[in-house]
Amino acid sequence: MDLLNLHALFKCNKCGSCTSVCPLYQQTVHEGMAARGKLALLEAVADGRLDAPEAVRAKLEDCLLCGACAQNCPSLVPTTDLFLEARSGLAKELGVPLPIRLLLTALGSPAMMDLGTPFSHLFQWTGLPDLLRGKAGEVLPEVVRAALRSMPPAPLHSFRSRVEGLPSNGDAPRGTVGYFAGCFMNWGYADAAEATRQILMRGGYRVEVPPVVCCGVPHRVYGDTEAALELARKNVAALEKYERIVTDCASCGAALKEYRHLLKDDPAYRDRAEAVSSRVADISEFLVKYEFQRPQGAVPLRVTYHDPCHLIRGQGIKSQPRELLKAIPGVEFVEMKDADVCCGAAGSFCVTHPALSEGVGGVKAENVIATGADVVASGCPSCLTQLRAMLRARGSSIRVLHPMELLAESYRKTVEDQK
Amino acid sequence: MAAATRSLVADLRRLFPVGQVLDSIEDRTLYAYDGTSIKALPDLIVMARGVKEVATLLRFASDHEVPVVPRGAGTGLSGGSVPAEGGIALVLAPMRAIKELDAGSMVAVVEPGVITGQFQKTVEEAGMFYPPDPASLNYCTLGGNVAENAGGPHGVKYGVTKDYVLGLEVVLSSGDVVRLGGKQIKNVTGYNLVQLFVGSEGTLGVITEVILRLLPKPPAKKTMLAIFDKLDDAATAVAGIMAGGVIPATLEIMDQRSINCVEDYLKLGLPRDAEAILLIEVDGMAEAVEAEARIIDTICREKGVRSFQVAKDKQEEDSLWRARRAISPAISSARPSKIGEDISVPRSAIPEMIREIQRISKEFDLPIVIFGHAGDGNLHPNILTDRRDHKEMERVEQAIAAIFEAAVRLGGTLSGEHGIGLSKRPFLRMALSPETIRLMENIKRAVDPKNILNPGKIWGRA
Repeated sequence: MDLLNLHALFKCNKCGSCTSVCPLYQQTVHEGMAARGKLALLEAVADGRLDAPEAVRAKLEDCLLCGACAQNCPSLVPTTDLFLEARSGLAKELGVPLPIRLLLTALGSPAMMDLGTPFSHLFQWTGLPDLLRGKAGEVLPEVVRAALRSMPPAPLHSFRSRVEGLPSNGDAPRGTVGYFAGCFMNWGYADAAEATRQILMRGGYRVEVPPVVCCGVPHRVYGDTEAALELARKNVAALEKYERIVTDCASCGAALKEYRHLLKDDPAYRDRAEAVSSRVADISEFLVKYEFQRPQGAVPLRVTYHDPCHLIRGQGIKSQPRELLKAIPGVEFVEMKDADVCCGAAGSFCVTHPALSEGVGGVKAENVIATGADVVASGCPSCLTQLRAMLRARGSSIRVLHPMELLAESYRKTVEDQK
Repeated sequence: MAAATRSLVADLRRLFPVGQVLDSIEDRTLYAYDGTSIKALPDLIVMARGVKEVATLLRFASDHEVPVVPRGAGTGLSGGSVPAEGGIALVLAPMRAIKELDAGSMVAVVEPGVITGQFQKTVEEAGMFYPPDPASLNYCTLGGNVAENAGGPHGVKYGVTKDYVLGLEVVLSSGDVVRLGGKQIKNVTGYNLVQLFVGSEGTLGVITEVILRLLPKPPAKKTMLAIFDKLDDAATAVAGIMAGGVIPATLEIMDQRSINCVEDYLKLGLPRDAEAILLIEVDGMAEAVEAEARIIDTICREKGVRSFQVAKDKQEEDSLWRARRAISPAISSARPSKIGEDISVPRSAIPEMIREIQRISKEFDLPIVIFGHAGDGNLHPNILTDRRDHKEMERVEQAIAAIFEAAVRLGGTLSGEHGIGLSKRPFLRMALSPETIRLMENIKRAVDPKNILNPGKIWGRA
């Protein structure tokens, strides 16, 4: 395995600080879950003391990549970067397992995703998933049950197919925004994506929805760096004409802002990636930065907010979503305990590691429930899906929404009031 | 893996629930280290979930004469939980229940795997206070704290872990379970065996329950930062503060190199030519805290302080602590590795000790950052180095020996709060007489006749 950054690896002095913030270590009290354990394994590989690549990969995959360890490391070890590098090296050495390869291929191809969505919609429409989530599903293999539990909503029509041909607010006074509709938002949370689009138009922007591809996060996570680079190049080409690029998916936003590092060794794309990355903003960041229109319609709800890892640690965005939610008349905002701790979704982790994911997600759900909120909001479709599943499993009726859905609701009410 | 170990693993798997006996090479690699970066592979790992399991394991280990190395969170700084001679790594981290919080008697009963910082939070929510505060408090365990007799900045006023342990449940190497001490503040029924096990570094028994004494939570606190041009002025100020009738809750010192290291890293505007910074906290009743802060202010000014700041609120408090808290990352960004030492000298010897270390730093051409607990004489010289540079590491070894020699010469000792373990084992004879070591070895033989508990620590093979 190629370990590119040995210097950073050997900076870890095994103090144990990472164990205090690792949600998986907290669950299991197992050294292999925490960053220093993983770094110890990589160190042993680098020193030639350990030759068990499959086992090392399995240990590395016991990780949410939530970044809490990196943020809290007194020795400044870039843990998450090292883990991604190691995953990439291992994928080269061992290949990517077939089911994951299929998933990554599908995610990389909008046509395949478009083809699959109606089936998922139909399947959910039959009510079978609900049935199988109960007693009837107990005969199913664990991974299938986990997939059923973590199923995102699948509207019949994707966001992109809905907006095709709709007016894009042509003569908007504040210029054009390129809205990056990520896979999860486009095929799973089309209503939330539409809310984002409406809010931008209402803010005085012309909104275009360029034909982008997957941001590449899943490919990087599984070490398929080549595919991630290819996707990044396609997206850079699709986005570079926009002065302002907005997304409402935490993970996509973090990935787009990373393109400048990802493509830094590609002379044809380096400067273009730098330009694109510097223009990307999460919707909450964008609205707060450019004076959003104060919402007027009352939304009388008690609301709490969960920080997605890819917003709070990936992009340093903490106050903006809260500011937006608090600006909505009628919203009573309550902080939950440990709002910035990972919810355990971590993309496909919730399917590949159901027990660990449920452990972490259960703690999160209890913290949500303890606030007595009507709604938990979060700016990440992966988190939304996990929160829905975890709350549903506890029989909770707390609604799970993207902050833009609440904001759009308030704007909509303003319009109704004026009528 | 040897056939003998394979058969041990098979036997143990019959005795323990699924998943609690681990023996893969990757798991063994994960339990081979502690906070020192010293490594030695255990042959296998057993996760303990209760006293019965610990007793079962020790009976088994005793029958088979296999070494057992108890381990909390593996954050120790002397190699205490590193399985130097292989054997079984006995992980107590899963035993993390706070069994009882008795506000009436102000005692707590805890399992050994409870994280110190989490325990402090729970205790404070109940209006009480558990003072020992090792720097690793957010991730070390109470069991490990007891086994190593951990300290921390609060040592100057509140003492260290040993001052709070009232009782213990210990599993002996035979597998017998003994209960020592209890909830009583006063107890002279028989030998004071509790204190024998405190700081025994896992060599005498496995701690499975701790009864801790608690204090009422001090209602007020005040934080001060004093910058001195001259190290000696800072030292006389420390002596003056105590003589003036004030025992601060913490009294931390940073030397000139620490100041510069932090300044390189954070650019806080600290004066690079200053020889010492003192970070002082007083706590107690609000009126007393005010009066004590005034005394400290006066004394620091008398001793020629260059600047003296008092925090007005929590935010200012944090900003005064910033430099001290930044030492660790600052050191890390300066050089690839650090070797942290832990000498303890009489308080009055601090300036002399700091100068000795500065001389050693020059002699061996190694940057050494010095900070620590000026109030109780416990200093942490940190040698900045690169572990992978073997030539330089030879000089580091020599510098460490020189630091220990100087500490003992000035009436001090090798370790204030980290323990001897593996890392200070070669130097034990500098600090203790042959007769003293023999007495310790005799106690060890009496309590652990087969020498299965954490063998090879403190003095090597008994």
